[in-house]
Amino acid sequence: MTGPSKTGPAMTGTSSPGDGIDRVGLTLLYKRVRNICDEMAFAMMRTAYSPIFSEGLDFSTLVLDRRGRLIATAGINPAMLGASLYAATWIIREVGPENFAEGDIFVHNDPYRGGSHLPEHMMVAPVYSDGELAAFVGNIAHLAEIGGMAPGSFAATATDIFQEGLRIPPTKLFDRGEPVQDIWRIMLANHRTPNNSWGDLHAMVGSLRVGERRVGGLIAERGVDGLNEAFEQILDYAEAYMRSEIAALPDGIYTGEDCMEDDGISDRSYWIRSRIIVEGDELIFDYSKSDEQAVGPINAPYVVTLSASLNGLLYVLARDVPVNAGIVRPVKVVAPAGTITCVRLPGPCVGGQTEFQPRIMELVLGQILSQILPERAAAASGNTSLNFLFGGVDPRNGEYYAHYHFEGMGWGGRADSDGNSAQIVPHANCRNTPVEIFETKWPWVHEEYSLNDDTGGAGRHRGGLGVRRVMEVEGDVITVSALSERMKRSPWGLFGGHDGSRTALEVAPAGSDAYETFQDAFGLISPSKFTNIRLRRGDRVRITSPSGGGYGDPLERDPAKVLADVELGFVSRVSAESVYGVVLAGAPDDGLAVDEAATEALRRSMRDGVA
Amino acid sequence: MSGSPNGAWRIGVDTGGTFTDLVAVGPGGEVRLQKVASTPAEPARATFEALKRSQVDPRGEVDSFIMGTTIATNALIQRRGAPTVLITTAGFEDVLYIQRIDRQGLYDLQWIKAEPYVPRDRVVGVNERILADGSVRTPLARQELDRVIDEVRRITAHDQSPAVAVSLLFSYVNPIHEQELAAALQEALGGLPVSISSEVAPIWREYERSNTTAMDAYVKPIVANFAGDLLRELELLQMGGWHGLLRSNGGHVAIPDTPAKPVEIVLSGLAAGMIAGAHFARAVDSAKAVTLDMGGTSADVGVIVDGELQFSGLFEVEFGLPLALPILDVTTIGAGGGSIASIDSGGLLKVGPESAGAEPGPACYGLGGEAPTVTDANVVMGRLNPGYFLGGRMNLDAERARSAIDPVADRLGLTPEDTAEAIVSVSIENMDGAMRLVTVDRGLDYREFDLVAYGGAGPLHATEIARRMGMNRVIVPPNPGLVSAYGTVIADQRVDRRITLVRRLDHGESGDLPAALGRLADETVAELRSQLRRPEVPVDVTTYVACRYLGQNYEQEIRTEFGHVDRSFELAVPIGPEAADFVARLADGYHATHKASYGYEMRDQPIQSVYLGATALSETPEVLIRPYAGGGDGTARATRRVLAAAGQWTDALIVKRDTLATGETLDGPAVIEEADSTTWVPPGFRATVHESQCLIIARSDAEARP
Amino acid sequence: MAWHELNKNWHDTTVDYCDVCGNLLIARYWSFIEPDGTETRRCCDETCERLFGRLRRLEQSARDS
Repeated sequence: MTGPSKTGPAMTGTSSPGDGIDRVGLTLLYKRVRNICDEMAFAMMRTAYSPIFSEGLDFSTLVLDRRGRLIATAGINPAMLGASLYAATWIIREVGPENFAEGDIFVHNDPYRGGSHLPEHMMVAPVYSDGELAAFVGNIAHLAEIGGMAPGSFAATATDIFQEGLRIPPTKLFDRGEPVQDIWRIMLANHRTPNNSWGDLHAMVGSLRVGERRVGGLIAERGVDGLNEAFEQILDYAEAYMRSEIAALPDGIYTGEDCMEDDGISDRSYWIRSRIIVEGDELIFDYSKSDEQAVGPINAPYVVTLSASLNGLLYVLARDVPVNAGIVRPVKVVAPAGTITCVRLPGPCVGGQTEFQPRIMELVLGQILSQILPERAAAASGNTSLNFLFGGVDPRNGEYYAHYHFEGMGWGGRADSDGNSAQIVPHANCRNTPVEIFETKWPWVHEEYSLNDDTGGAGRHRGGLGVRRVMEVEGDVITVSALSERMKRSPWGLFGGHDGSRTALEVAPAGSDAYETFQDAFGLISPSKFTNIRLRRGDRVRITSPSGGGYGDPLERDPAKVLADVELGFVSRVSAESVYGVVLAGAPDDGLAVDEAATEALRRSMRDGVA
Repeated sequence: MSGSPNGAWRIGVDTGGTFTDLVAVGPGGEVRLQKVASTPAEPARATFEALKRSQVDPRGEVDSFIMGTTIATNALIQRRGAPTVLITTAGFEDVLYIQRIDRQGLYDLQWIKAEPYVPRDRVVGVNERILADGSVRTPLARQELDRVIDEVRRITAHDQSPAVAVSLLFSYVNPIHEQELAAALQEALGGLPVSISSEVAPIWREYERSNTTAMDAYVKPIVANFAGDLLRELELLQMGGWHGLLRSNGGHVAIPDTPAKPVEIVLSGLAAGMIAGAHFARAVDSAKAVTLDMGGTSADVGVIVDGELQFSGLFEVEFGLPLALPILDVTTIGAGGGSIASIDSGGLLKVGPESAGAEPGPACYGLGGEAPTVTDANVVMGRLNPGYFLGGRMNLDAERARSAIDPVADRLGLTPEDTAEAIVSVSIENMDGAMRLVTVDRGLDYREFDLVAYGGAGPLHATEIARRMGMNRVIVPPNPGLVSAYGTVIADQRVDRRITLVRRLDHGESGDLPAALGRLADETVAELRSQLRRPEVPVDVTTYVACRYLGQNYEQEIRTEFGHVDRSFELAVPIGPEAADFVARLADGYHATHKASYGYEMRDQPIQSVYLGATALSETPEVLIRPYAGGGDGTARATRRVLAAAGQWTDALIVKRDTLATGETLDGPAVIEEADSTTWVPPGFRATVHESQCLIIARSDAEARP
Repeated sequence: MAWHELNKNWHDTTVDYCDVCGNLLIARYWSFIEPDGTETRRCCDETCERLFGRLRRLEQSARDS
């Protein structure tokens, strides 16, 4: 195998063959670095304790050059893109590459230093060759419980970072291969389920050791300088890729806005105002006109805003670009400190990653880029992670447990197809916990887990349906918290499509079927953000996730699709007529059919606004 | 030594999408091969056509007739299964629609979730509820049974050969309600096929179990018809011997028993190739090997450890449609001879996953394909002989191959030949990455492995892959393009069973674990015995327990051994008083396995069992396969200009494989041609003809291995 | 206009932000003296300059129109 040639002029798109760059060698090397990230990811997934990062795949693995710049990452959770680009770099620069030693591992979870929010822990380890620093490997993973004011460490009513859990600045976790026991003890003493953390942190360490070995193999082949020169070319390549994609967009200023409906502390909403400036082969996301930082935990650290902006862009522009530090060179994100888009210490921010990030991402790809590339855009998804946290003592074994639960929802309609039903929020890619695992692990009994009929935002392409989960408390007491959105404002439709339906969090006391919202039942400020509500045996919780918005005018939807939706129960016969203008003939048992003439007449009158 | 026990013929058939291959192994290792075009509309027809052409007398000495079939696979992929009704616990009717809520591609906003096999208006909820510990919270009432039967009758009123799947929550702990439903449906609607999840796949995770059960019901009527056709035809021919189909787990099932659990033959076709791969690995004393079956559009990769194929508990028919059964562990990669090369937005060369497939195929086929493919690149490099493709039955057009590659070469600023080399290199790197993951994901170090390469395109690329990955030797079985058919002849009879049993090993609750394992072993042996082709043959049973640290969410299987793992004619002996010791030994085994796989163990952490498994096996007697006459006269040799590496044209030796003699060696660069495949031996490598007629390719400077 | 070290005490765990884009200042900052004489601290030199210039042009043209 031939290595890349010595550094020539920077790659500039496809236009300059003969510039001395060995493109084939570069492709092969990049794939190998990606494979290392994948191997690190597999090791972590199979050994981790927290379902959020082992079942849910809420983690990323990284290979960085000797200066700490991201070269490749295993693309598992896009929500961590921003942190992947900055968090390891921060540790390496703040500590200074010269202060690392072979066998060291540093950890941090500081959202003011490139982290996304406190539960996500980042680790980084240097790789040496005969005493010479050659590269770094790293990973980021969401630990399920890290202390703070509420079990599950998603304190929806926190007013500063100190209520959200234990904050760790860049800190040595292993010193030349030996665990720094004092640090481990401080961390574990501050987590509610320390044994879980013990397992997860080991899974992260094991994954780094896999990465060190494999990067060591690359160094043996190419030498320290050869490898870092090739890394430089990989960064240049990603930059060239992004520039050529951006250059294809028409120059201009595109604007949009959306809001976070409340911050859990007061009733007011917080607005995000975005401008995208496209000029040549560069692009600026400007959020400087956004509202000031919130009191509650819906703020975003800088990297979350960056992550959301880039993810929105990658969804429509460059699905296959190698994700590394090169992609940010032609892209700038302006998010002034002290706004909701860049939280200042000690502002709380745990919900920024799960609620604010998808809001910005869909703002970028749905509202703003839809002005440029309507065929690649989509209406809003349910667009909340619908975090539901609980903890307590399991009566079956007397042990303390805590869990971070999230819910799938409907996705928005698209140019060519309906939105998917029951999907994870688009900025993440996690799986649900099966009912059988849920009830084996935690003292709840489910009554229902189903799609929420007749709720998808109507449109030429319908929004996907959300889900409904009903479950009963089997323990004596369970302490629950929630951090969600889309209770006051619906997921928006696009190009004449209707809005989707909203989130609901409801509770019925033992023995009663009278559900009311948590807000009414417990006198809360926010319907979607609360902490430490104590439920008792027999109480039931009903979680309803939002549906996606519709794409295009519902009166243009193919009547045959409306008929199929009615037959399958996704849309009611009443909505078929009143929303889609489709008249069906016949009885359900004998087979329904579209009454073409009546449908045409009804649609005409609805268009004329006389229906 | 005879090729076949009792000197009788062993007939194996592999029915693929394009070709149906028949292999008949007779006395003394005589091999008869037939390749005929498949007849997808009536799969049995091509089979019996091939049989007729092979001129094996069905009424003569026939030991066995065994098929690998894609009939169930195709029914699932092409959605041609039975109209199926699904019965679930009330409140959970949408289980097939909700799935696991994740998606396939990170940035694929246009992705469409997989459509369930049972549409929503054919799902019936039943009022009943069993809890995690198996206790009944809501009993199944008689009037509820009647209501469900009426619903099923109404839904299926106008169906042609419908089927019913039943999957209730926690039925893997307590199957009583599923069994009551099945009995009531049988009684009221006799003849309607019913699949229940506690029998099809008694494992936790309701979506995976329900989907597997729905698939079982979905393919049941088609498989039953197919089995019926085969049996009728075999009877007409008065075919002797034992008649079976290959299962996804690599075992045989007697044709009349197939419709009972048809979902078990979904990977029948894939399994055949892997079994043969393992057979030839054993033939050359390779204990650790990766099998690579590379064809036109995709490559199937399997792993052999200690001479045994590995198994997996999950396979996805497409993303989001899992099949949760013990099956041969195979990973399919979108890389084949038809993979298309292109230049991406950043200016880099990309190969696949798009494929030209069989139609229009690579540009050199001359069937209208214009995109440059890996096969075109091999033609331009001189590694593929345009005049000897499929033994000369098809001519390749080298000019078309070159003009397809030209535009890519212009973009890269390279010569067409070096571009061809780059295309092959990138496709090899793609496979390299996928194969590393297949092994590493299973905690295996590929550098200790041999590579067994077959399929039309496997032997052409295998040595380059092995070199890049630092693997040991490359093994090319005889007739690489017909290896799957060999697999059906070689396969053993086997039954796999698996049950969920979640127990902490450090608690008294694990006390029932050894007895449960013993019971499972007994049941598995009993099931195999009920199907045995020869009742007197010995049966082997092995058991395993999947464990993890309490809190982890993935498990590793730990082989367990008791006194009863022997070739016993009796049923397995239940576990006795050594139970306590068993649990401690199991824990030790888990710590050690974890450390070997991931570099650390956590002795202070409790361990939890997740499921128990048992495999009962009845080995098929060894079969001798000697398809080549092995003239060794050297007359059919020539040289050809071949591109060995970028910019390096060299004269390579061209040899017809059937002229090679046992023990003969060939130094690369060399191209070994036969009708169904081509083997490339790069410079610096040497091919040796093993007595099994496999080619063994290793570095010329490597120490000779036994 | 030059790079300056942040020179924080080891026990100081606070952080600093780029005055232009909000990104984090790591170990050092690019000091920029505005026309009115005030100092802004920036995370990078020439790209921030360009960015700042472009945003200012934008604001200007918005005011003008």
